[in-house]
Amino acid sequence: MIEEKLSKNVFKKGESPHIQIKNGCGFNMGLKAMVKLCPAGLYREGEDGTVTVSVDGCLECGTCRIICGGEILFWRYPAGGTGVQYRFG
Amino acid sequence: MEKFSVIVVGAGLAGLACAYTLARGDIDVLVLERGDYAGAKNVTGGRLYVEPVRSLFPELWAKAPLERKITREGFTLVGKEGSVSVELAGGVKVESYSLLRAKFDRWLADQAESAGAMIMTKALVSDLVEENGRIIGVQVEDEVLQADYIVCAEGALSLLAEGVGLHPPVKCENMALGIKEVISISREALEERFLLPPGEGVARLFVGEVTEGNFGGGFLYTNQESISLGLVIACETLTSWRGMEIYKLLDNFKSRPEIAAVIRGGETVEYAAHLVPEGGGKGLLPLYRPGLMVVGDAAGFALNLGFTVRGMDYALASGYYAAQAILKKRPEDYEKLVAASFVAKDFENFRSMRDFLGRERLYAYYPQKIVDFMSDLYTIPAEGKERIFSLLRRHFPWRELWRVWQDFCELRRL
Ligand SMILES: Cc1cc2nc3c(=O)[nH]c(=O)nc-3n(C[C@H](O)[C@H](O)[C@H](O)COP(=O)(O)OP(=O)(O)OC[C@H]3O[C@@H](n4cnc5c(N)ncnc54)[C@H](O)[C@@H]3O)c2cc1C
Ligand code: SF4
Repeated sequence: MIEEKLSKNVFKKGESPHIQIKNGCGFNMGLKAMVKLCPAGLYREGEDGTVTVSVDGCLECGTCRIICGGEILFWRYPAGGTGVQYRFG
Repeated sequence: MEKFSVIVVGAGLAGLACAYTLARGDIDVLVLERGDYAGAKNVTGGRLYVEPVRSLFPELWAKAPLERKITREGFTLVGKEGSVSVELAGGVKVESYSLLRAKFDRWLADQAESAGAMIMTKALVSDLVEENGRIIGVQVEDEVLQADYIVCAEGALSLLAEGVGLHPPVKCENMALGIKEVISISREALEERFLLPPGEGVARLFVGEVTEGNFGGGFLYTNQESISLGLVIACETLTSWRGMEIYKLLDNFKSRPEIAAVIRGGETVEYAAHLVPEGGGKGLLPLYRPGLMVVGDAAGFALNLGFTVRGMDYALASGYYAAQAILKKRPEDYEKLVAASFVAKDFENFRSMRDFLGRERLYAYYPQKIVDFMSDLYTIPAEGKERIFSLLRRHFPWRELWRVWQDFCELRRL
């Protein structure tokens, strides 16, 4: 289970989500692909086919940024001192 | 406002090597790092080749927190069922060590601080600040910090260099996705399972079914008391991915008998993902503009040679060269220093590697074929064994041999 894997990591929640899907882009094909590609399994496709992302547990790999691009995603690194903190790396 | 001589963005290997070298040369340098500590955001496979960078920091290596000296090199072709492995043991000539970045980067940050560098963590640089065509500072929250030179060591995504137009946006063709688990296992179990003398380690690479036949592969490195196990998959193949969820691929890898046997009883203590630049193919990116130098992964300095991934030694070296150029008060010479170094030489020599490794047959055809052939070769049926030549011909008919020959000819370009 991916949730179990993510639970091994130290993760510090930030105040606002560092990745957001731009308005009206929820049906984009690249986004749909992310459901399988996000290594943290954070992209979900709803019953109506729209894709949503939740950033809790994000590994900050940037894969969604390079697959979807800046037109679809508002993508930044989380604020300093938040997000995943690797203890091994 | 206080102005620094140099601000380094990113406390990874490239940024820290640069800051350490500058501080030793009595230059005041500030390192800004977005993580809680140096290394908090950094991931590697694996293993550092020390030889190329030994002479750049001769005083560092004796005390560096390296995990194990790699004395066995394994390579495994993975089929749907079964696999074929070769291992080099005893004949490994070059020194390389497994390491864990959170530990190593933190230690290197301590060395830089002792030498006089200032390291500020939990500080995210949101933009580079430009004035009259020169980069003069960085934006951190609502503050601008100024410096004579900014060294951009921000890693693979290279958002800041992209933001000021020095680099084009990172493309899928130039990246691979790495995912990895660190699995804790006792020292004794580890040395027993891998037949290792104390302190020595093994590196193994896997191709074929581990990525469902796609461009990429698996890796395993032994640390002192853990195993680093993961996969690297070219992002180009992700754009038309038909396989399973990426994280399940790693679970499948773990449950294969070749891996399950060596990690049994181990506990996963971390799960990480990171991009790896697959540089080389298109030559070097611009590294310099007035006020700004780009080092490490941010400059695309990583090479996937199939049998090994390299980036850490390039990161350390490029950070060192940027520092040398600043120390000599000729920052524009940084590109020249890189061009004259082993970094540029490697990139030139392995220019065709990326294209060669992109050949689908290397992942989807050969591993399975060789596993099938070996499996038949070792079969002794009740009704009498097939002759070897007929077995060979059955597995490799003329038309196949012709394609194998074509692939072989491609090797000449490497
Ligand atoms: C799975 C995997 C396996 C690999 N295997 C090997 C291997 O076996 N051998 C090898 O030599 N190489 C390997 N590599 C490549 C190697 O890890 C990299 O080349 C190396 O880590 C690059 O170091 P760097 O300092 O350039 O970047 P990073 O280590 O990525 O450091 C960048 C730093 O900048 C910080 N940062 C980024 N943006 C900002 C910002 N805006 N503000 C403040 N801080 C910021 C980050 O938090 C980070 O600390 C592998 C890579 C991966 C992902
Ligand atoms: S950055 Fe990586 S882990 Fe985070 S949402 Fe995007 S793909 Fe998933």
